[in-house]
Amino acid sequence: MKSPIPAPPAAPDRHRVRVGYVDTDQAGVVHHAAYLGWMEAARIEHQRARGLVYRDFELETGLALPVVEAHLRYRTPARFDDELIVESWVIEAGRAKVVYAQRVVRGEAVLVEGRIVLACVDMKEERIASMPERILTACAR
Amino acid sequence: MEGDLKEKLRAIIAEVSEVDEIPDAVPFKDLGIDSMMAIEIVAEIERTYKLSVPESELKRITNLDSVYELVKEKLAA
Repeated sequence: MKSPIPAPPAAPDRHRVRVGYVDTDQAGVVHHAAYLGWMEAARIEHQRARGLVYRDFELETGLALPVVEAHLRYRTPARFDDELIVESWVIEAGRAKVVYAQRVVRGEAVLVEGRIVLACVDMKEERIASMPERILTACAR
Repeated sequence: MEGDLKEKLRAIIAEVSEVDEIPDAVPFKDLGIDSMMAIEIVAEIERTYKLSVPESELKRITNLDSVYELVKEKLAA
């Protein structure tokens, strides 16, 4: 099956996570939904590293960046107590959306690859809005 | 000339939305074109025609006719 994302850059952002007991299912492997939470945390850290504190952004602008599309490919399972790295990089950023590519890796093994699309919404008016310049600037760094 | 503009806009909208038929007056939402896709369409039109559509005018974008009127105004300004 074709990967949903392009090859990573030379040095993608890396966010470390440790698999908790709570993240595993009856089959003894990480539940598929757990990866989405780790990938979200990794994106927030990716933005923080570029000067954008997401909580402040929401409070100051009344805007939010919800996930509107998530395409994940699960290749190899992770297990309790594994140390994982979530790699994140932006592959597209424009007025309508920001597209992240992310990989969850354990050592050299790629466990999950994902393409995550974020839109921008005005929380008060409950409508789609254009991606603000501060987001696009942070994504370009 | 005006017909050319409308046909070019129709082509842009069809390409961005991947909807084959874009009638003049049918609401985008009835064609499966959501508000996020409408912003993508606006972004492509801005790039193509080197114009700017402010946030406050996005709500005018409801069908091909409305896009055509908006772009015509911007190009004449």
